[in-house]
Amino acid sequence: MKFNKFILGICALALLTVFSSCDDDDNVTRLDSDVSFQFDYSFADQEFAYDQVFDLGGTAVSFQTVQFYVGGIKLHPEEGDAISLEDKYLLVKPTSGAQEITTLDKKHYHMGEFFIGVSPEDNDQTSEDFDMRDPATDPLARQNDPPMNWNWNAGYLFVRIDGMVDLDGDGTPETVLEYHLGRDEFLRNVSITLHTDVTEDEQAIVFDFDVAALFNGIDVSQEYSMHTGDAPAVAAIFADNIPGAISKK
Amino acid sequence: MRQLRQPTSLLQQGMLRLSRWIILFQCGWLVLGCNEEPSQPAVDTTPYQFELPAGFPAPLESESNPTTVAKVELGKRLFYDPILSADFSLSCNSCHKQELAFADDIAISPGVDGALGFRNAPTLANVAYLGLMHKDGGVPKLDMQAGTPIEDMAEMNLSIFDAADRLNADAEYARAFQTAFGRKADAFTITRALAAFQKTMISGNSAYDQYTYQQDDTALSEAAIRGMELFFSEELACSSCHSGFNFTDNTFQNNGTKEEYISDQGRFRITWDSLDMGSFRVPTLRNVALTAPYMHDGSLADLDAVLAHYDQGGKGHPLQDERIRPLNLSAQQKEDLKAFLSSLTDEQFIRDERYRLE
Repeated sequence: MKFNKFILGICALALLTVFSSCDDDDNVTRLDSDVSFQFDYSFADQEFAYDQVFDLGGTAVSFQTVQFYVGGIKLHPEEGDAISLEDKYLLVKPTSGAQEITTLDKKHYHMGEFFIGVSPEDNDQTSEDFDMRDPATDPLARQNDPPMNWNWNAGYLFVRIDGMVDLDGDGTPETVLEYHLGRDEFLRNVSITLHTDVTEDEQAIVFDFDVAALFNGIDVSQEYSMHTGDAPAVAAIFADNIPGAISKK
Repeated sequence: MRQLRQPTSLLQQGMLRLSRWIILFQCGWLVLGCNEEPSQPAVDTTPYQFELPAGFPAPLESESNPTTVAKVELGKRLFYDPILSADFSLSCNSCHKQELAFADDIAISPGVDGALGFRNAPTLANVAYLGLMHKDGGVPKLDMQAGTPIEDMAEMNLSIFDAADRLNADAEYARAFQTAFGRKADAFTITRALAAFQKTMISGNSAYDQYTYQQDDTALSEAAIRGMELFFSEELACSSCHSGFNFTDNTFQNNGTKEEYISDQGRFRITWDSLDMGSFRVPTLRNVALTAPYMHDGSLADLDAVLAHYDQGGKGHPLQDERIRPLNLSAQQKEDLKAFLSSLTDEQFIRDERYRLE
């Protein structure tokens, strides 16, 4: 009889623990928020998707990889000092969704700043190279699918685009399209008015990332292979298009 | 005598059975948990003892990758193993042969499927003393350099992630990586193991060293001594770049190999500084008689061609270093310089069994 009471006691205690845990969470009102960045890809006014054929200035193109690094995140609240996330990097892909950047006080944030690329200190790799970083937690660790680093040279690809382009005019992309942007010179700063009230315990700040806008002023039927060093003038146009390709949703 | 009463209600019976299952599960978990991970070898941190020739400083060591015996042994095995090439056809040794002072004897060494890059394979002798890697200095340190030839499409053409998968599937390699690093093969451990082995490739026992540092007056021929005096003369200024214990000041210079640098722009490719157009690393001259052909592209077949190039004063590229100018060397002086350069061959180094697989 004592044994049975003992078992029943344990079960009751377990149930009490489960229910009391739930109650605790429900009763807490958080003053801060787990804030994330989310980049929703688009192509001009269309939804973006890999392998879909798009018209880019009269040339048919499709994409298999469009990804980029975000770093140097700084958020400006309406009152108080800006919050800088010096070491925080995101590797953004179409499937990334909301990626947590930090925990912030719930308040109004009127401006956000970040750069597309990797800071010169991290891009140099003299002290900490990509193979010293933890691939499980650090987007600056060596990437495999696909790589986000040069091979012959230290440094990262800031933006990597792999796709296909139609050069024979039949409407079907058949030729490899590659835009690989890197080098310190082509890091681009983005400054965006947020006007966002962070009120939720978990809240995403959502941006639109217009892939088509990256190619403004570029004729991809002529310039379909850009690896930065082999086409610095095209690289400069492409890099300069980055800030205009990102907007707050 | 105390007895447990049998449970009377269905609920009591169910709870009793449940509690027994929980106890059984926990015991099983403990047993299985203990057996889940196979025992791993302990990490061997025994430091590698460098045997430094007279006049040589200690090699550059990194805090993140101190050279250990286990890493060196693992790196040596990797160096000679074609498992690091896409089709298992090439190893590091394919282009860096010990008998050639870990260089190659053709202008451009073919990679997987015969793919050709555009630079001559350099000697690995004394690579521990280089700061920036490659002929253009594009990679900042030896520790991470090996990723380049493994992944380069014109070399071994294998993703280093695939290389790690191959190595981790091999029980002996898996054990060796655990012993050397306490972790599996990955990009870090592969590159660091290869770097550790290459750091041990120290060459400093040539006839020149025996003559200069070991007081062996018979080590150099009369011609080599005359060549040495020419080499170190202000007039020729060879030693203004090929200086120090390793016969290089580790700078990047335009030595006028080309009239135009179109296909390979040298350090300009890295810095985009127009003054770096056509600049390449000043290479070590140790074992230079073994490392033909010469220059960044292997375009000069032998030492005679090299001496002719400098005697001529280079090809006259606008950014050619001003020290490259016509020298008006006599035939005898060229022979003497060649004798001196040949005296930099380290016979012990190219036969050293520490660099060979047992």
